[in-house]
Amino acid sequence: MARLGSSRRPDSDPASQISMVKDSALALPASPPAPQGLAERLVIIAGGVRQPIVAILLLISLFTVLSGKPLDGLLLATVAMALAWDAGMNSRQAAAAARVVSVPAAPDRSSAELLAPPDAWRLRSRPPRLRLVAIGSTAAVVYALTVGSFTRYSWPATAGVVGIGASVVVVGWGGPTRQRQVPAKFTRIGAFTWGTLFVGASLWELTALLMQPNIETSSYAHPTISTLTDPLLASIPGRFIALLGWIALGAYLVER
Amino acid sequence: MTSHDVTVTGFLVLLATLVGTEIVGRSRRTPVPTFSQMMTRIMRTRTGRVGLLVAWAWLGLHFFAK
Repeated sequence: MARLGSSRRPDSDPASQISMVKDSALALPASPPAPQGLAERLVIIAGGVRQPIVAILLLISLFTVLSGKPLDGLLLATVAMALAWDAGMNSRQAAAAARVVSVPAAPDRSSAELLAPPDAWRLRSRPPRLRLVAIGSTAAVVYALTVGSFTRYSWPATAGVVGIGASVVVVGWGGPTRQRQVPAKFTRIGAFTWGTLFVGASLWELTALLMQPNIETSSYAHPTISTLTDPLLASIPGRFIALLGWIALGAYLVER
Repeated sequence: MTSHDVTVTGFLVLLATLVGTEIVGRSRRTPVPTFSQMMTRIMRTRTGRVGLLVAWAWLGLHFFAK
């Protein structure tokens, strides 16, 4: 993706990168040859599909298509494929680098992470200013009131959600927006605890979904989260609260 | 207890476990990370970052869009 920000970080300047390469032990080799042929491209994508996030997105895409939303499913599958390609190319470059030079070892960071492309944004070192937070919060309230006033599944509501959703994903593709301390690799018990919780929740939801008369018809006996939230989202105040929560979650994720 | 009650109770138990795990994660000496730490760790790579943001965008699409 092209540079998205007008202000570049010093290390994103090609000239400074060359000098860094000269001075540093991390001498990057030339990029591996561009993939040729369908088979090689498929191998690269298959390498990326092994990433858990990509696999999860593909699963969500499958169930979205099955539940009668082919456009959403196609959108998800496209992004998942783009991510698989990106991850596969990074792994390929890392493998090429490992063959040519030794990359200095860094705890908890794979060589693919070390060779990841630079971020597009100038990183903030502090939380956003209070004035900016106030403007953002007001905009979020106006947005939630406006989109919440539209009927669910209508074109205006769709345009509002797609617009903000796509914008946030584009921002995310450019990398983090602020400096943050990445926690070290979790212990097994830590990863297991959260992993079990999310897998358990997914399985519980999936069970309720599969116990419905069919995938498009909700069931009172086996309600999914969507079915349980339908009464809330049927009213304008309910949609307003839900949209506000959705935006808050998005803002929280962008700040990670 | 009807199957409706069982399903809803299951979701409530999962929610309570999520909150409980977060509380345990915030206590001083524990190997369990907080939700925030976990998100930051997952989002350290482009794949993790974009993947989670797409999952978030999908939530909005699922509940509101055509």
